[in-house]
Amino acid sequence: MSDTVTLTINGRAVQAPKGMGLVEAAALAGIEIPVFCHHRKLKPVGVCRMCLVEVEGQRKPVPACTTQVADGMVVRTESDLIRHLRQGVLEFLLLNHPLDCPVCDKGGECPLQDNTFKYGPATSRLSVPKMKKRKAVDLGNFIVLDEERCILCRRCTRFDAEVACEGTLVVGQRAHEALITTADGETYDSYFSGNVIELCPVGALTSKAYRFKGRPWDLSRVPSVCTACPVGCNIELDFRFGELARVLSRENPEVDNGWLCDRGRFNYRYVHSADRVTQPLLRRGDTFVPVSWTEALMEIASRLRSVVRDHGPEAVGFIGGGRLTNEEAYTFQKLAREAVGTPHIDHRVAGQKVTSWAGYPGRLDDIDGADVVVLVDVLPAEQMPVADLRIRRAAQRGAALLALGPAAPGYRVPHTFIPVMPAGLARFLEEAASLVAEGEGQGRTGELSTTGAPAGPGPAGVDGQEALVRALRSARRVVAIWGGTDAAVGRALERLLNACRRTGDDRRLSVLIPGEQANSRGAEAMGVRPDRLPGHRPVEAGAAGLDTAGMLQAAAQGRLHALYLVGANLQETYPDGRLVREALSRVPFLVVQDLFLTETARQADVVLPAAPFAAKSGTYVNLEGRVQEVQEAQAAGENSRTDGDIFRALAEALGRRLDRSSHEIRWEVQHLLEELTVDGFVTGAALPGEAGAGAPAPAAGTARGDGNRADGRRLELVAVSRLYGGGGTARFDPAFSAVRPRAEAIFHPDDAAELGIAAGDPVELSSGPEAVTLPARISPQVVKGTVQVPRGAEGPAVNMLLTGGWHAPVTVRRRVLEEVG
Amino acid sequence: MAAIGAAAADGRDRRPWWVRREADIERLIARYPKPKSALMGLLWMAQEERGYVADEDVAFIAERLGLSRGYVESTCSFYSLYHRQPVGRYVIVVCGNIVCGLCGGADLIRHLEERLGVRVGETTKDGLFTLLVTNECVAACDGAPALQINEEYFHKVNPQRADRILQALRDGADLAELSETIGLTAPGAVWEAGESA
Repeated sequence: MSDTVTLTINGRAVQAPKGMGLVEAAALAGIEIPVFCHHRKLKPVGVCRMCLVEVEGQRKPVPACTTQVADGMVVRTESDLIRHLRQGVLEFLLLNHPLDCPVCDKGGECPLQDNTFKYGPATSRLSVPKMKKRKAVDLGNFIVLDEERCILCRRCTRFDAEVACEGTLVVGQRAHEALITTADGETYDSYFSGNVIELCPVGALTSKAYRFKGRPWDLSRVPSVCTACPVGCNIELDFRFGELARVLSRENPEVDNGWLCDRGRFNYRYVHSADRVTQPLLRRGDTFVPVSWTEALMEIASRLRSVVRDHGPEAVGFIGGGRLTNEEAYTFQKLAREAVGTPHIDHRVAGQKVTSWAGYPGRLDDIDGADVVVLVDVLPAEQMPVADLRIRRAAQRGAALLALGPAAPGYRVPHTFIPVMPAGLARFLEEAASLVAEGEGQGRTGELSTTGAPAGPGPAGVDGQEALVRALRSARRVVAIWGGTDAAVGRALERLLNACRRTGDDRRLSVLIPGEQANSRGAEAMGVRPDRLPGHRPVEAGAAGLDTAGMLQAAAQGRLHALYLVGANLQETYPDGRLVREALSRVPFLVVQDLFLTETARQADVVLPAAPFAAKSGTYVNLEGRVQEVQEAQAAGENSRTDGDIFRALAEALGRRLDRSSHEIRWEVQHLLEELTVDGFVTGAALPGEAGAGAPAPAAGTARGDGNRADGRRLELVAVSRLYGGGGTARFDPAFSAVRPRAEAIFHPDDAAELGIAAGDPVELSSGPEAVTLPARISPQVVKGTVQVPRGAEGPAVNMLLTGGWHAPVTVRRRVLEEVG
Repeated sequence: MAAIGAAAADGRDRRPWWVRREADIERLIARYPKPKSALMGLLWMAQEERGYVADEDVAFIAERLGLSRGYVESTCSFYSLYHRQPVGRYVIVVCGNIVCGLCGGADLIRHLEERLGVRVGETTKDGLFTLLVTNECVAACDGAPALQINEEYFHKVNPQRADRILQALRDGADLAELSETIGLTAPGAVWEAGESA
């Protein structure tokens, strides 16, 4: 075959694909060539010289990492010369290396130790003192650099430049003064910084959280799956004395490609937080009293029974489930539908309308081959970070990357940002669909004047639309990533994709939707929805329950008499803080099942302590529909229980067993997932409004009265996702809470100038009677006419200004000092 | 910065160099297939204008060429002839590489520190001299120990010649002329011994 070459390594014939490097080709034959700078996921640079080999016909030994295989090549990796050279390279690398292995985190899993053990000289000829460099340089949020240990292999800087595509981490200075650093005044705060710790072949880059916490050989390692976002990166949990000591990547090329984001890697100490609820709590007046599980469950059962007796089962609502395993989610809806008998159950806690979409199923690896990636009202770095690395790589290799929405994604890779206000997004896409169809000589003819020049889809205008249409017309493989917050946008996106499909033959069009919680798709498939039963089966006509918005409204109006929240801090996550406040204060009986006493839990009548992810066994469905299994890695601890166990126990307290044996639920879920599986992935649901999609969700809250003040100005408030925002997991994690974003209002420089706002000024954002005061920041990244605020930030709750969606018009006013004082 | 007018009262153009020299910048970038390639030239331009490369120059160049600030900083710090701090009128760069080291470079550095009253990396109080040592070879091994003052070379600099050079510059000698006359001339015996061998 022409794309395979045959060469000889150490006398053995080896077949390798053309273009492969010698290090990989030798590995195919089971021959190890030692390396430091080389890494199969980074471009070869040949700077460490550890991989020198002899190639017949070459005057000098060559680095194997930068040498590609060739037909008839004869390579020797174990000659006397090579052994001598390796000793020399190692002696040089160790010249100024401090050899403080006894106190080094890397000791025991260190390539420098291992290669020296195998190939190195036992002694050094250095007779003068080693160079002294800084031992604990704070590089950024999570990383500490030991400059003495660094051997300047550049794996970290290449990762930052080639994979994260950010270029913050660089080699500064030169020769023996060279060091890993950042530009003056910058810190290494990439969302992906933790990966350099695993890439580092010595102990130079260490984790602040894990530094000096353990020796690798003492750790118990358990494979798991990350539950920080819906990508579902594969991880390894390392325990010491029963405590989670660190999280490492467990490479799965199809999901994470061996990378993790810093939220997944470093936000784990909450599992052992002293703030965990460790005992069921019962409200007695204004305080909670700890009670036994039996007492708590009996209390809930009797209260629920009396609500059902007095008001019927439909007076009970259940919200949450996107953080549960599939098995737990399935049990959860059984508890609601079978044990209580209510149709009101919804996993959506943050205003998302659509979690999955059967029409254009997307896979993460579709991004790798895409020639157009369209982001529709979504910020992948914040919502699906490790998948964003695929997007950045695609853009870097030449795919067209277009982002539509009210907030710019802030990439360093080539991309086109088309600012479109949320209200104009559906129309923008529909017009683009018409243009795509027309351009191909199909679909509508003429009438270009009415479609080509939109009157008001936002500040984008026609240029952005043209860019999108041009890219789509020539595209063979399109991936659209959509936030799923507005069903009308989804239908418009469908029209656009249909227009692309109609024109092409072999085009591959796919859609990915990052769910608002790690297992949103699993919860949806398990029937934690008011309009769908397990397996995406629509409920009978007219039998659909209330969705989250509907339940909150019913509670606020006194029609719902009991509310049961699972892993749902609605006060923070739901985009209508006022509705949540009214609902929670009005509902007569509130149960909250959570790890922490969140502001929502503080209002509960009963708080049930749930166990964290590491204590669970079960399966999850990631954003592409991939089913991944986890095993229990630690005991639930203290007096907490897994969510699934709590549901079963409560059902029993209600006089109903949900399963006859411990395997039954698992077996049923397995069957459900198998039924839903197409080509190895769990299929999505139909788009709302499509046939078979079930009853349309009740409308969300309506816009509030305009409390326009004479001295204020109207801007569109856009609340954007932040990777480090939100969640008890961030707030109650001592190592992580420091990086949680602070609440702030970010303005475009022009708007700031018009309003007379300077950075740091207190500004008041108001909507109706609600007002929130935030410090101002000014950034040209913000779209003119909008004021951007981070979601789930530390500080005043901006969702008080929202009415069901993540954007709303607000009045902005600069506050004078006396008012604030 | 925007508030500063195009020309101040003294007639000097006080706009940032990158505004004043936009045409030069464009010409430089246009010379290469990729804008990135103009990095060295722009750093040089910044230094030409200011005497050193300031933080705002790094930020401007990064923005203009579509590079990260880290990348610009990395390149800038690699080359010992780009300065990141204000320097004196004459920047003395002594070669710290092995050949110069073997031929008395270390003594020369100590001597210059003593005579100038500054440590390596510092500038004399009168703002006349900055003393630097480069880790890399200045490519003048035949004239070791060598040093460079601004863009001029001086070979086989023993302490006596160093004193003469400093004195001449203090007396207002022209640097290029000085290098021509005494800089590249062999100081005597050592050179001849090498020649005859």
